[in-house]
Amino acid sequence: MRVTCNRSVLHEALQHVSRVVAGRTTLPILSNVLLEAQGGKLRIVAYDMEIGAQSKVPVETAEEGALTVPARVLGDVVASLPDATVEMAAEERSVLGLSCGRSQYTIHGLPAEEFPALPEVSDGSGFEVSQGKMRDLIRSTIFAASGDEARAILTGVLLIRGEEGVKMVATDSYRLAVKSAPAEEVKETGGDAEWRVIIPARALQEVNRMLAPGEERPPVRVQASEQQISFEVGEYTLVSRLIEGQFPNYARVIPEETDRSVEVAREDLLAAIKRAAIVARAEASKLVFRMQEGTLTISAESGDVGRAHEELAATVEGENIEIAFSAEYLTDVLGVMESDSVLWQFTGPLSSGLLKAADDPDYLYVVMPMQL
Amino acid sequence: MSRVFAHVRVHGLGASVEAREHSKRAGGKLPSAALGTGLANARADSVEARCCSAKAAQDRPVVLCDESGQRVVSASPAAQERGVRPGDSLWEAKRRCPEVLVAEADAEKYEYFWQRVVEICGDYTPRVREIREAGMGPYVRPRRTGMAVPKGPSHMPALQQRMAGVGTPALQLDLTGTERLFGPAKSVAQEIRNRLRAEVGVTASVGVGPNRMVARLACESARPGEVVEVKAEEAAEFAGRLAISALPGVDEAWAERLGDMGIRRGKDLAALPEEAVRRALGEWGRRLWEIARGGDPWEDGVGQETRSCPTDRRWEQGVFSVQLDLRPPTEERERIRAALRAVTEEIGRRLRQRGQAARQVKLALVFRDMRRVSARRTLGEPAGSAEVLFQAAGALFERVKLKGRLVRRVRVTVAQFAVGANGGQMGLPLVEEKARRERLAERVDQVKDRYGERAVARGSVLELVGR
Repeated sequence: MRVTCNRSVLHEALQHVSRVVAGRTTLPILSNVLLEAQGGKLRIVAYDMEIGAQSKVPVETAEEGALTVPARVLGDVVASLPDATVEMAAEERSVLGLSCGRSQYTIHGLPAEEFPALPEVSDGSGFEVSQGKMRDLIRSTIFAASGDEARAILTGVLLIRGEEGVKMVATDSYRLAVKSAPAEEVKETGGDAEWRVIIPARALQEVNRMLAPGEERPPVRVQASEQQISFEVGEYTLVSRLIEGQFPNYARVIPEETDRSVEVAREDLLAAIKRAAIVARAEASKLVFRMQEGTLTISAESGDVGRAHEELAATVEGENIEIAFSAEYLTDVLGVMESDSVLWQFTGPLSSGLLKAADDPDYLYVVMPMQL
Repeated sequence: MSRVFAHVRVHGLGASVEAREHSKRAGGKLPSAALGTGLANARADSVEARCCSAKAAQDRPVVLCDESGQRVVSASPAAQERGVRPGDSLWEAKRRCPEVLVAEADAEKYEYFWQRVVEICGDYTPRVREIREAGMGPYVRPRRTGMAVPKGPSHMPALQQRMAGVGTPALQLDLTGTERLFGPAKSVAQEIRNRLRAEVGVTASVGVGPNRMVARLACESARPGEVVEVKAEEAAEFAGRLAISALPGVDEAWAERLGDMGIRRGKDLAALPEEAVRRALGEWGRRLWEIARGGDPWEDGVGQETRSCPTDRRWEQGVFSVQLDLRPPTEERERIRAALRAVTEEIGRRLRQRGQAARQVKLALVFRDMRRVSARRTLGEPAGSAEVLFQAAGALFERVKLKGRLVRRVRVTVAQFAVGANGGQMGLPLVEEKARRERLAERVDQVKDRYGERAVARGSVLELVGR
């Protein structure tokens, strides 16, 4: 293998790919990235047997070939090189020679044949959606996924493809986030019209990093098979193993009817919750909300710290209510919403609260209260 | 039916075993336990061989030392007659008793003899509990209030003490309803004492009482080899007569403080109103008050069971542990998993009682050779459910390679507590199964509260810990 390429392009590609490299692994090869020169492209691959990332970089290929080198070493070296042309060549079967200007390095690697093949998801069902919309779908739901590995199903995000479009659902059993993309924003690319899969939240985090808003950016191409899903964005591809199992019936916990509601400015609410949460830290971030006569009151009390009291102007409908929520569960959702105001609906102090962005009918968030 | 308990305490097991072994070797006869009577155990031959190969010696005082080899942790009755006490320096012991023999502790051998002690007691009732050394477990005053933990060998965990042959390991026998079969409880106690002397070669004192605590206090008031019975109608008077320092958990500092309050004997404390005691001394004081009246604040509680010694002190340090000793030690993963189930259920119950949840789970396995492995895991969110704790501990256990080693103790510790079950956070009714499990756990708690800790148990746990 002998290739020449631009340092900044190579650096960007390595940054994208090397995030999925296994941190601690019993297989040393999984700490490496695969470099494969073929035609006018250098294929860079990282794979930890669950999530794999691939990037293709335009290069001048003098000699085709492949080898693997430690991702961290290569990434650090390339990051610190001056912005100039980089030449990479396989000096032996598994030693990479790298030169840039007057800098020369040799990096010891492992043979490419030992690197596991990245799964291909070629014959699955799929769709295309803009990067901006995919970013919305992920950002609006991923924070609600559970971090508890003991409940593997809930560490993933449910992706539902149906006639009405695409929907992502995440829950950690205390809160639920549902975000939809209507059918007109989704382009069919073949396979079944209706399917659902559970994607590890970690994989979606990596996908999210690949995305950028903007109409002119290429769309995200999603393809899913029984066990794998792939996301292609231009020259970047991410492949992830799917989580097997039955996602809970989330629809049953979305309140169908509510008799009390409050509409309040989102940024004001977020800022007030963040302030009050400082006092509530020692009390499991428990904030008490009182809605009455055009006012939303937020209070927190901690025996060791003190008290917090915030008042916000709000449009309150229905009977007065006093209810407690975790500050963390509210700041998460208010932080990703973009609307000016939010509508918060309740049925009682021990029932879930339904939070919606006032101008976004495609997003809803259900959160359970805390005991008063 | 009136209840009756016996508290059997074996004095200086290790040193007694060594002394009798040497003595009998010299006389040509070993205690029958050493000849393997009643124990069809594969280890018996090797242990017996080791017993017989010990250097013959005269019947002489014997002591066992700690790891440093400088401090006496167990003294045979012969050594004690010459003024040697556990806690003495070896230099001091030799000065008082120049002919004292310093024996090397043999954990496996003492375990063998201890199992024989347990078997003999088990001949009279299936309800035999091994309990911790005096001053340990729930009897220890919470550190926050200033009560110091007794110094000396009793600091060592019970199993470790027994393995080293030190301290005075004890058993509690529930003799309720056994009178028709074996006669009055006092006769049973005398018979057990005699059999332990003849068959195992150890000296035991036995207390008989209407509850576990009185039986224990009676045993503590007994001289080595003596049997003391306290009848139900005498319990209050008996406890009232005791010096306040004789009650569990009262060390010198607290005896002095209580003395300043005019409380020098049990009856002084018993005469005070319960609420006044609680206000002045807290929950620990209220328990002490109950003991001083001849009661048992841990009646059927878990604090005295073999499998579990949770203490308030551990809560205050921000952690909570429950452990279970496996007898015999095992490498069967199913048995170990059943033990994990038992301890996590108990932790779950305690967390529910306190309305708390824990974020961190730590598993420790102690092997037969006293080596140990441990691993910990931080949960994504605080959990109070026994099922979640079991899953977490089970996942840690799956990573442990036993490599043929026998596990003798399983301990699960939880830490990083949050307020309320799941931190006070209510859960979405997403999974009906989960909600059902939680309701079931609550009902089981209610049954246990009313009928005792072992009124309801999983089959696997029941097989492990007995009825």
